Amino acid sequence: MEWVYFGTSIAILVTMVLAVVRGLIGPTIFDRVLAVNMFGTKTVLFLAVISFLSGRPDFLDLALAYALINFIGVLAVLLFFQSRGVRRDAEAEREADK
Amino acid sequence: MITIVFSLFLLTMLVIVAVGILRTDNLFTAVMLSGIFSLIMAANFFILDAADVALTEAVIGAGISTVLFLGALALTAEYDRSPPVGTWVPLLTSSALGGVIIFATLQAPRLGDPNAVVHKHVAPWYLDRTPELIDVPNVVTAVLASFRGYDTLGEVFVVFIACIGVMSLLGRVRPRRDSIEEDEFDKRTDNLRHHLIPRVVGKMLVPFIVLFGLYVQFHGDFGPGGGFQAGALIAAGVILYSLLEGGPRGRELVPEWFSSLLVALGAFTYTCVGVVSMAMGGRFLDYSVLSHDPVHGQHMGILIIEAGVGMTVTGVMITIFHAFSRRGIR
Amino acid sequence: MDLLLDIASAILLLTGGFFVFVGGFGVMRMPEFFTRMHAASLTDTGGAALILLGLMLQGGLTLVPFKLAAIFLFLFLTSPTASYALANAALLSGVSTACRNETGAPLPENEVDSADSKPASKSVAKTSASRTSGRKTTAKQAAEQAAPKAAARKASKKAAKKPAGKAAKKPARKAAKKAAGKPAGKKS
Repeated sequence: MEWVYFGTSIAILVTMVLAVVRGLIGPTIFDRVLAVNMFGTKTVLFLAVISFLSGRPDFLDLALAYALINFIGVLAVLLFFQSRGVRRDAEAEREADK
Repeated sequence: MITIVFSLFLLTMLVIVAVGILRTDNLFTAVMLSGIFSLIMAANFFILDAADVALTEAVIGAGISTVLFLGALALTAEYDRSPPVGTWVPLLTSSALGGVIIFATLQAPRLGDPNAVVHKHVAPWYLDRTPELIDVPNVVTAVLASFRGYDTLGEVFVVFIACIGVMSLLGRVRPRRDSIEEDEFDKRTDNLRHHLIPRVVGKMLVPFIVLFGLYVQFHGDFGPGGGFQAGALIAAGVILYSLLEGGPRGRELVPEWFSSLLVALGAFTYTCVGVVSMAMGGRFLDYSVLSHDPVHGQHMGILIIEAGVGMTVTGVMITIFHAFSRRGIR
Repeated sequence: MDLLLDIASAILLLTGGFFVFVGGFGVMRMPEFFTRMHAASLTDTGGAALILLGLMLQGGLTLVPFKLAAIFLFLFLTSPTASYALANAALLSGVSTACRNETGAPLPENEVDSADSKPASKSVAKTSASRTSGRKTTAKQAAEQAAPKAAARKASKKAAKKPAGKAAKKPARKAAKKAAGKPAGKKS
């Protein structure tokens, strides 16, 4: 089974690299958020596979924590853009009223 | 062998991402890349068997710091200003420092070398005596909470002081409102209430996050975890709720007086354990005297001080988040 | 029996790894943000499910499969939610949803229902009032298409910063808010 775990983790690592490249080249900021989100999911999988590869499946708690926490950041991004958009509109409106 | 290869691979990625963070002038991009940075770091800690640190890095780096960075970003401009001085002096300084560090690593022992100095000093003693003196399976917890209780007390106070620093910067005062419309405006923008999917899923997950936090808190003697991680997880649950339902409702759930009380109470509890153990005839933070049986006393002491750490960290995270959300994530 | 389990989990793991890789490849190669997101989110859930299932078969009768099942469940809940939030954030700040061909020119969009294209301001108003309905999103798309300054879309790769894109959108949104002010107020 070793080589199967190894192959899977290599596939995940390569995908992590692709996500990092996407995060570095952008072009929009949302591509970068996408890269972070994808990287987080890949980290969960990577940790799960690695904990089997190194024979310590009781360390899965970490992957569990990641799976629970990872999407809070993206929700914050949504909130950030939502309020920024509304705020900019409000400012534009105020200027137009003047 | 495989783990070392993976670790080197991840470290290379880490360097690339770090250069990316330095090169960008868009702060939002920097925030996102630092999210990736801490995820890589956490995976690397995990590969190197440091499960407790990896858990901390995961919860704080991937979850909470992104939220707090975005809150800070909302209060400032999105673009970095070009540095005021020329690039020559910093470049020379940092390359000189880097050269010194690289020179120092030439003398460092190889990774995992059993004859390295750190492994000859007190570490074997900790490993040998933990089953006998403290009897918890997770030696990290024993070292952190008991053998090195002073250091951890110091860390708790560092977190405490950091919280005071942030509060004195951001303040408690309600920001000036232009009109009542502004309040109405806040109601529409500082929550995700009309986004049904995140709202339903998020509210479903909040109890699980808090439950998992409690598990990490009280399972810390046996597996990776402890007060720091648990505090961050529980705070993440509260932060998720506040993101979904808006700042005011989040402050109704955990009022600001309560979160700042938690900050103080946690540090106070930790110190009290030390003082009580002194009053019972031992040394400061010597838990063995807390009970008739020294090992049982150690267990009790570790449980209480971990609870104190958890309270402080939870309180600090929630207080800082509330301070940002009062100003509005916008 | 053990051999069968091993083979099954090997197949699941390797297929999962392949899916994960395809997702990463898609994120690199797809031409537009939304197509990239589609590649990432689809293969994310598929690959994660296969890998976690494959690991579950190896766990034996311990706590491990349950933990893996919990991870599976949470990933299945959070990953689409994150995609939803991300797509919404991108849509809110005006990343173009129009597909382009290789030369960069927008493709003709047949699926946009022209009956929906009321005056731009109104349809945008609806979308900002209730963003949960997919149909309304198409309406916004149509509105953006109809808007005279839609040429600014070319610049929309940096939409958040480009003044042209903002200028095109601001009057529309402003009118939108006046129209939507009351219902939105009621909602919150």
